[in-house]
Amino acid sequence: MDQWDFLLSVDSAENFPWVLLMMLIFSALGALLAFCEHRLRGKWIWLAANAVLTTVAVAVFLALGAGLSELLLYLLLFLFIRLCFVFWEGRGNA
Amino acid sequence: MIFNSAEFLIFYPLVLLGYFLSPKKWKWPWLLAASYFFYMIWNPPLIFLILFTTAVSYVSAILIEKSESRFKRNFWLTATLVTSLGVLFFFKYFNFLAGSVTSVLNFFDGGERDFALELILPVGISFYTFQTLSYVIDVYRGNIKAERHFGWYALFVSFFPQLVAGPIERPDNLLPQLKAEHRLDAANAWAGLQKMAVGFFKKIVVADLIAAYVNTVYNDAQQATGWGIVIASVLFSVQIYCDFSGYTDIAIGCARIMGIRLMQNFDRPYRARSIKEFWSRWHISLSTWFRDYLYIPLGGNRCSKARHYFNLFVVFFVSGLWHGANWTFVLWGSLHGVYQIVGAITKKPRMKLYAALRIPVESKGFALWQRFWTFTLVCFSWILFRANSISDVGVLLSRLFSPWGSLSATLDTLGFTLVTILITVFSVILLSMLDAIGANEAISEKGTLSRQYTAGLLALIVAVAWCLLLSVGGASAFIYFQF
Repeated sequence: MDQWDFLLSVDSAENFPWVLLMMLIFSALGALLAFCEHRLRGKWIWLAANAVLTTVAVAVFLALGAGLSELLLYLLLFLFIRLCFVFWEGRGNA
Repeated sequence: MIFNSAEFLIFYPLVLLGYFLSPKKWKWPWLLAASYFFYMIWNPPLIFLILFTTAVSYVSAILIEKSESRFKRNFWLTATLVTSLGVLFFFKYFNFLAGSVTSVLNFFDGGERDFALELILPVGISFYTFQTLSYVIDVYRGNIKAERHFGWYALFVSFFPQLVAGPIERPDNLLPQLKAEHRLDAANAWAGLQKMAVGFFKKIVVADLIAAYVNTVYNDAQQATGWGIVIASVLFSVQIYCDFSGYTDIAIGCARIMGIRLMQNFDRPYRARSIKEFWSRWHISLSTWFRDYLYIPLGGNRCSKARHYFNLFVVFFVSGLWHGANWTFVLWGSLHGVYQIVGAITKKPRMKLYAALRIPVESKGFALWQRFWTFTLVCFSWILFRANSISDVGVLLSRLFSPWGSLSATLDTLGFTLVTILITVFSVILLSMLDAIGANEAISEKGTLSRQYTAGLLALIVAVAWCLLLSVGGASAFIYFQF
């Protein structure tokens, strides 16, 4: 066993590689929706789409047997993407 | 009652409902009753201690104002200082002093004396004592008029959002706001809710999740490795900032929804380029209290250099003692005093050296370099602050200055996995982004992305982290409650 193998030991999700893959896919979709929301200002449809995406992502993670830690990581990633857009817009407006 | 408890989620909306629905003459009794209830949930009899401190400062301020001779004014001020600080000393420092004296005596004659009393440390005693002292001293100096309405004054002392861990408010800021008529305002409510959401994020998502790793190292100093101490100390610097500034954010948010603006207590302290600047960004309400009521009366910097350095050291020594009745806090405060003195002594030679070496002191690279060293010095001082005892400090420092061992073995011992490392890293990055957004109107006000949705996402993250914490043992109290 490599000395760094412990990092990949995950207690909560047996399907951890799938959870990780879905995390990346949902994050990419989140970034796309944030971009759409940025381009088409004030469109409630993008807001609704974001809410649906979050709900679907949570449901998929739970179905894959992900624990609260993985769910928290995804939500942090999702918030990080949105805040990056907020910063990007803010820098442009500053 | 603590903010991150289920009771608070019921208590706060009820307080708001009563506050906004009641006529003006009923607002102070309602808020005062709520504040006392908030405190009494923890230990009901100790409310009498707050009442005593409140009554003493209320009466003495009026007597000081009425006194015509300087002697009488000095007498009442001294009587108040002795009484208030006496109560603080008895509850907070008696056992510390008795323990220190007995250990010295026992060391010399091998006796087994024990003068310690069974005392409960009243939560927030240092905060509300300092708040009452600033009121009495301000009346003595003629900066403000003595408050004649006991109800409003009692509310100023015990206003529940800042009662147990600050900010230490000044009477000229808080008293007029408490007396003013406030209606439910959408802008205030939204700003307050945002501030509370950020506060809960700092406390529940960052501080409480990091606490487990920090505790593993500091609660078993004998087993700590060099890597463990470095990782735990860096994480503790994040934990204590998030714990304390998170509390402050929730307190400011709670008050803001009611239309009351509490003072700012933190201004991104780890961006400081010197220890002096760090103290102008960290626990601002305490730093300014010590500046106004101790440093300047001692002579400040308008005296000889030696006296100035002495004044600096006294302020930081007392600041360390204020934080807790333990030699670790005294050492921590003294170290910051030494940092400040060394900084002041070496300022001119350093500037000459930078000029000789043509170092661009205003460049971003140099600023980053200064921030790195300031953060390193602050992190080192946190070892003294967090260690459970002086003997632990000795063990931790000896480990720090010997071979650090294996990084992977340390991470394994601390219980890190890929997911927990990523959660820690992302939560710290998000923390700095949220702080930057809070401090920069250009970023926070002009965005096109829905702020409501982002705030909702933040709330969802807090809820998930809370569930995660409950599944492993529950939410913890705020660190600064013990002070």
